[in-house]
Amino acid sequence: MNLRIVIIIFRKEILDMLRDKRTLIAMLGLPLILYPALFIVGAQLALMQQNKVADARSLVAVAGAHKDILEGWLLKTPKMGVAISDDPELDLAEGRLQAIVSLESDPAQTLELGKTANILIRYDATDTSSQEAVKRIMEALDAREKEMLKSRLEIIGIPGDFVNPYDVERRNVASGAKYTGTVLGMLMPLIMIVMLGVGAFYPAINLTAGEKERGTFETLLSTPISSFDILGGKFLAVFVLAMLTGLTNLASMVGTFAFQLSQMQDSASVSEIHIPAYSVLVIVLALIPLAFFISAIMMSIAVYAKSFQEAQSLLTPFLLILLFPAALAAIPGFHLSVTMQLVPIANFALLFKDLVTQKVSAQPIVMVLLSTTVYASLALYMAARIFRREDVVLSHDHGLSLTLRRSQFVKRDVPTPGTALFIFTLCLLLLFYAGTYVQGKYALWGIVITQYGIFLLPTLFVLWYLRVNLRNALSLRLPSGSGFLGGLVIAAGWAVMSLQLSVWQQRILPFPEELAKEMERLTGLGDQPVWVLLLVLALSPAICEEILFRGAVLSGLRKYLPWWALLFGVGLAFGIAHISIHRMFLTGMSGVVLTYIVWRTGSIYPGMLAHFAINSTAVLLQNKQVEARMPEELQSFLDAALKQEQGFPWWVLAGAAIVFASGVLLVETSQRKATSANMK
Amino acid sequence: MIRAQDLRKEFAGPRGVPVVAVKSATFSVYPGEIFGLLGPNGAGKTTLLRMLATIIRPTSGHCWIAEDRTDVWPQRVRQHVGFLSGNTKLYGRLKARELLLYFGRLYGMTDDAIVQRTEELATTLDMKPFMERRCDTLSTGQVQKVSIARVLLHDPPVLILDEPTLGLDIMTSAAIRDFILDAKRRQHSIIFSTHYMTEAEMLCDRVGLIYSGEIMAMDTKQGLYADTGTDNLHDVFLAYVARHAAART
Repeated sequence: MNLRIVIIIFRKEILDMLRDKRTLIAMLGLPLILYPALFIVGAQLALMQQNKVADARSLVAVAGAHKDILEGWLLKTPKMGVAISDDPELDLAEGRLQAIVSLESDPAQTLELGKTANILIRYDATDTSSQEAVKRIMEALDAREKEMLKSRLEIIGIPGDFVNPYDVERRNVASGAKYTGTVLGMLMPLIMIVMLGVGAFYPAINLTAGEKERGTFETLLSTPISSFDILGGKFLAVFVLAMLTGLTNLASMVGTFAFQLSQMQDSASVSEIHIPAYSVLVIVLALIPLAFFISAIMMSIAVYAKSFQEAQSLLTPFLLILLFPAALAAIPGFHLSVTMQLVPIANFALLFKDLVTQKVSAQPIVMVLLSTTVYASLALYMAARIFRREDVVLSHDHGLSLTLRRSQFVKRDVPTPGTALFIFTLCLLLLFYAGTYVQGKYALWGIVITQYGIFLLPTLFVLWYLRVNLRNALSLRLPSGSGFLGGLVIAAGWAVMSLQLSVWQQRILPFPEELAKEMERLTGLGDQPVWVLLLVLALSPAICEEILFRGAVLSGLRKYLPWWALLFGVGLAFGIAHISIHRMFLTGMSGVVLTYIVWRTGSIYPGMLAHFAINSTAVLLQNKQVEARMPEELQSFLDAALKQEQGFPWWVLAGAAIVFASGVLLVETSQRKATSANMK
Repeated sequence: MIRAQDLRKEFAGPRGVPVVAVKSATFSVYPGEIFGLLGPNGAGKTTLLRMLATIIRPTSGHCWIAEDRTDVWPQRVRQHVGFLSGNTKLYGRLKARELLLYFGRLYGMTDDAIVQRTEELATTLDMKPFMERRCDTLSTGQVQKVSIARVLLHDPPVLILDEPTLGLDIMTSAAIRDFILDAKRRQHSIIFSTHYMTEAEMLCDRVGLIYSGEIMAMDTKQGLYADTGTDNLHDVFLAYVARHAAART
C-alpha cells in the first residue's frame, strides 16, 4: 500500500464529501439541531403541560345522601371546586368534570357507632387532570379521616400513638446524578452506535455505489494505483466521517444533557455527575475499532450496489440490525460477561454502560478492544477482497447478479478453501449463539441438536447448495483393511496417551471447578443408560464432527496447505470448536491425530471409528454404572492414575506409544499399497 | 506500442452460461500510428479497449503495452496509458483545476509539473474560462476537454480513446482530432474507437473492423478499399458484414 496515494485519495474524498449537503446534514445538522430541539424543547413542553395541570382548578361533582358534608370537606382543599351537574356521569365522560365523589352513610352516625362509611370516587384514569383531582380529593379525605380517628380514640380513652406503632420515612440516597448516569449509560451507547452507522452511511454509499453511478470509478481505476490504495483512501475517509459524526453527536448529547440538568431545580446534582477521565478515554479508544468495523462492513455492502438508491436499500437493513446489539445495554439484566465481551457491537454498548456507571477492571476493556479490533480487521480484509473483484467494482455496466441461485454455481469435486472456512465459521457461530444455549437448557438433547443441527446439517446443506461432490468432499470411500485397522489401533494408543496428557495439563492449567461439574453433568448425565450415552456422546460426534472437520474443512484446505499445516490447522479448528481454553489443547491434539488418519487413509470411516473409540473411552471411564461393574484392581489403578492425578506408570505409557506407532505403521503401509496399486 | 494476442473476454451470463464479448483479438499498434476500431454499438469495442487499459482482465490471451504485460504489471502499464471512455467521467464536485491536480498526483507527478502542464493544456484546449468552475456545471464539450486534459496530463506514450468525439459539436470535435494528430506526430501509439466512419477516414493509418466480438478485417484504408472494391469505410463495413453473414450460413 502506498501511503502517499492513500492520503491523496483520502483528502480528495473528504473535500468531495464536505461539498455534499447530505453528509453535512448527517454530520452536523442532525446532532446540532435535532438533540437540542428534541430534548430541550420536548422537555419544556412536558414541563409546561405539567404546570398547567398543577395550576388548574379541579372541578368535581358530589353525590349521595350526605353530599353537603362531603362538599364541606372538599372545599377546604385548595384548587378544588364543586360543580352542580344534571348529568355528572356524562360530564365526567366528556371531560367537563374531573371526578364524582359520593358518600351514602351519615358520617356523624358512623362515628358514634364506630363503623366504616363508604366513599366512592369515579374518575378517568386516562386523563391527567382527572388523576390530579383524585389526588386532591384523597388529600382532603385523608386529613378528615385522621381527625375522625382521633375523635374516636378520644371517646374510648386511647392515645393516638396506640394505633400508630411506627412512623416510616423513606429517603432516596441515590442522587439525581447517579440516576441520570444510569439513564445516560443505557441510552448513550445506543445513540452513539446508531450515529456511527448514520455517519458512515452516506460516505460509504457515496464513495462506492455513488461513484459507480456517476461513472467516475473507472476514471480512478485507469490511474497507476492499486485497488488497495483506492480502498485505503476511501475507507479512511468513511472512517473519519463516521468518527466525526459519532463525536459530534457525543458532544451535542453531553451538551444538551448538561443544559437540561442545569435547568433542573437540584442543580447541585449536576456537579455530582462525574465520569472519570479514563472512562472517556476508553470510550473514545473503543470507538475507533468500532467505527472501523462499521465503516468496513458498510463499504463492503455498498460496493455491491449499482446505484445510490440500491445501496440505500441494501444498507438500511444493516443499520436496523445494528440496533439490536446496540440496544442490549438498555435491557436490564444484560451485563458484560465473558461471552458478551466477544459479541461485536453489543460488547461496546455494555462496556460503555459500565464505564459510565461503575468501575470496570482491565480484563473486559482489553477483551472488548481486542475482539472489536479483530472483527474490524476481518471486515476490512473482506472489503479488500471485494474491491479486487472487477465484476463487483465495475458492476454498473453489465450488471452483477446478486442472486445466489443454486443453478448458478459451478459443480466442484471439493470445496474451495473459502467455502471450507465459511462452513467452519458458520458452524462456529451457530454453536456459539445457539449451541451453548440448547446445551445449557437441554443437556442430552442439546448435544444431539448441536451435533446434527449445528454441525452435520449446515455442512451438508452448504456443500449440496454449492454443488460440491459429497463423496469426494467428505472422503466417503472405503479404506483398505489395514487402513481401517490402523485407525482403530492409533485410537487405542491415543486414548491412553490423551488421558496422560490431561493429567499433565491438570497440573499446569487446573480445570476450574465449574467446568469440571459441567463436564460431569454432560458426560455423566446422571442415570442415563450407558448405551444412550454412547449413542449421544460417542457415535454422534464421530459422525457429525468428522463430516464437518475431516470432511468439509480438510478437503477444502488439503490442496492449499503443506501436510504439517494441514494437520495442525484442522486440529486447531477442531480444538476451537470446543469453545474452552481448557479443552482446546487436548481436543486439538485429538483433532491432529484424527486428521492424520483421514488424510493418510483417504477415507473418513477410519476417522469416524477412531473418534468413536476415543469418545467411548472417556464416556465409559466417567460412568458410575460402569465403574460399579469394574474389577476392583482396575478401578483402584485408574483412580490412582486419573482421579488422584498420579498419571500412568511408564510401562503403560510405553505400551500405548508402541500401540500408537504400530497404528501409524499400519496406516502408512496401507497408503503405500494404495500408491503402488495406483501406479500399476 | 500496443500488442494484443488472442484476447478473449467472457462475462457471467444468466444461468451460468457465459456471454462472449470479445472472441479472439490479435493486433499491434506502433509508435506514430493511429489505429481505428470500427464497429456498431455492442460489437465489443469498449470491452477490448478496457482490457488494453487494464480496467478488466482478459478471460484468456495477453496484451503488452510498451513491453509490459498488462496482467502482470497493471500499474506500470497504466502509468504509460491515457484512457478515455464514456465510463471515465469526472468528479462533479471538484473544480476543473482541482480535478487535474488530483489526477496528476495519482500519476505521481510533482505539483510544480502539474501546474505547468495544466497551464499548457488549458491554453491549447481553450479551457481557461472554466478552470475554476465545478465539473458538474460544465457543458458536454467543456467536460470532454477536461477529460482530454486529464488523459494527456502525464504525457503518456499510449493513448486508448473510446469514442472521444461522441456527442460533441463540430468545433470541439475538431479540437480533439487535432490533439490526436499532434500525439501521432510526437510518436505516440494511438488506438481509438468510433462509429463515425468519416472521422476514421480522416485520422486512421490502419483500421480494424469489429462485429459481434470478432475482428472481421484489419488493414490500411487503401487495403480495405481494394479488398471490397469500394472507396469509403462506410461501404467497406457493410461489405464485410455481408461476407460475415454469408460465411455463417
